Amino acid sequence: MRNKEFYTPTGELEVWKYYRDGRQELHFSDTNQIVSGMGVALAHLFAASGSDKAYDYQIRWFQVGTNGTTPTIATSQLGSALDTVNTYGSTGDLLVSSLSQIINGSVVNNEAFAKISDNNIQRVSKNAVRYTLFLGANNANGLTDYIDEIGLFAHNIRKLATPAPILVAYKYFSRIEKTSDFALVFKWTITF
Amino acid sequence: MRGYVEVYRDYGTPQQELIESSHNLIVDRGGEMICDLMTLPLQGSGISSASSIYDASNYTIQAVSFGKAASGYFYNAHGTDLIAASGLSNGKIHALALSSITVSSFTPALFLPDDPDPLDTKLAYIPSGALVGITGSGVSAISEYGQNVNLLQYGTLTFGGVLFRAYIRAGSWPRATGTDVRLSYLNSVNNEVLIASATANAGFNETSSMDWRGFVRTTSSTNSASGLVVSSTNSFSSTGEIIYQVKIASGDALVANHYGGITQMGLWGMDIKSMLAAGRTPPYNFHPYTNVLDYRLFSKKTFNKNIVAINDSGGAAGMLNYSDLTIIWRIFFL
Repeated sequence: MRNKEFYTPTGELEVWKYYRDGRQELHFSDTNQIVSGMGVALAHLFAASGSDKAYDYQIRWFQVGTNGTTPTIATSQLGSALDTVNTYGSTGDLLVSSLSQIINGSVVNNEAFAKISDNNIQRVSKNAVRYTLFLGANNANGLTDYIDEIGLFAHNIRKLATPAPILVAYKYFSRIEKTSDFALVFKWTITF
Repeated sequence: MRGYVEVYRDYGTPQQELIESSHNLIVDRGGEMICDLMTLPLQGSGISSASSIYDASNYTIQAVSFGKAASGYFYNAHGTDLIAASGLSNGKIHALALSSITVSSFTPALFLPDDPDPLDTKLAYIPSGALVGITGSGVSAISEYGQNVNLLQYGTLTFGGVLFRAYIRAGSWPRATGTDVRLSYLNSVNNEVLIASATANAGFNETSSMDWRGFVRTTSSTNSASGLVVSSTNSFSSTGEIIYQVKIASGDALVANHYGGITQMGLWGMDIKSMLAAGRTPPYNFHPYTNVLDYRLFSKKTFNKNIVAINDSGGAAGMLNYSDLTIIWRIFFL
């Protein structure tokens, strides 16, 4: 049973490789770290001190990176996120945008984010939402480092002209050398 | 996320007294409300007629309510006998002691609530068969939400004027025009001896901030007598602390005590999915006696004592000596 006095969202991440020949391989599975950005987002929502639009608090973006570390509750950015739209490569179905980002309370410009569309957000129970994130076979190939971290971001809690996502959940995982042989599928379930 | 509740008597005055402080429980339905927000499809956000669905306020705390243990809804002014308080006497809220008494404070039959559970969806689970004899329209709200309803004020306005006695038994808050409250006992020849009487002046109904089901709305005012005030502190950026503050006026406390006291409270958000399914589209506005908003329990506080209990103090009759209570409910998101 959950602690009666404290309430903390939790999350679980599965990282799958989907090969062109149809094989599917579970690469990694573990719980994640919900970071303080989740609290910041919810606090802005409930205090009515941020955006007045519900969609600005939704988890709508993700980043992957190449310098994963053990996170803390205060983690506010990836160790080394793919920093340009082009780094994500030939986009296919993946929509990547250059936006601002809230990092430790400050707004930093020109960060690359991959979009999470309606189709990739599923309610799997009354209290849980699954985000299914794709890096296609043609995305994020040829990197000089291995992919080993990922983060989820709430859209634009301050309702800035250029959306400034904030990191709400983070996970580092065993490294992957991304090639065009497979797509990466991240199945990330957050329980609120 | 965590919560903390403080109850003060005479808050903000030199006589301020902290009478209760402890943690609350965030229930699972609070998480459901956040899930509703997180899964709201973006498709449609550009349609002007649907834009109100995307108001962030639809997914936040919108009300507070008060209640007691399920058993408490059988007794005191809810009850059918005249041993304790009875709403059946002269249209007044009437406390009648068994034998000669010398104090002027009413001590209701008190039942402690069940332990709060994360799966709770209401303040109290009133067993089937409770409230026998109370059949007025709207009385079902007591068991639907498990809380003190406001049918003394709005029963007749909302459902018609033929069920006045039922609405007295349903309770539980004084009318805007005031509600007479009496305390007496039966002497040896079964005549009633009046000990004390008072007119309880309303707080919630004076400001029309409570609907007929007992939900006190949020207010943009900074005056906690006019509803549930939401604010943040200077430490907001480091604690994510949000303060929900509401005042129970002295007259409200007096009448609530005759109905068995207050041992539970809840913070409620709106259940927008339920309302949309019922064909009720936003924007959603509060109205005290035509309110059709559906609420969903977000957080619950169970006390181990009646926070509106009072005793005589020296020569001061307790029943005539109520003070305002101020509830400060802090939710920390960081």
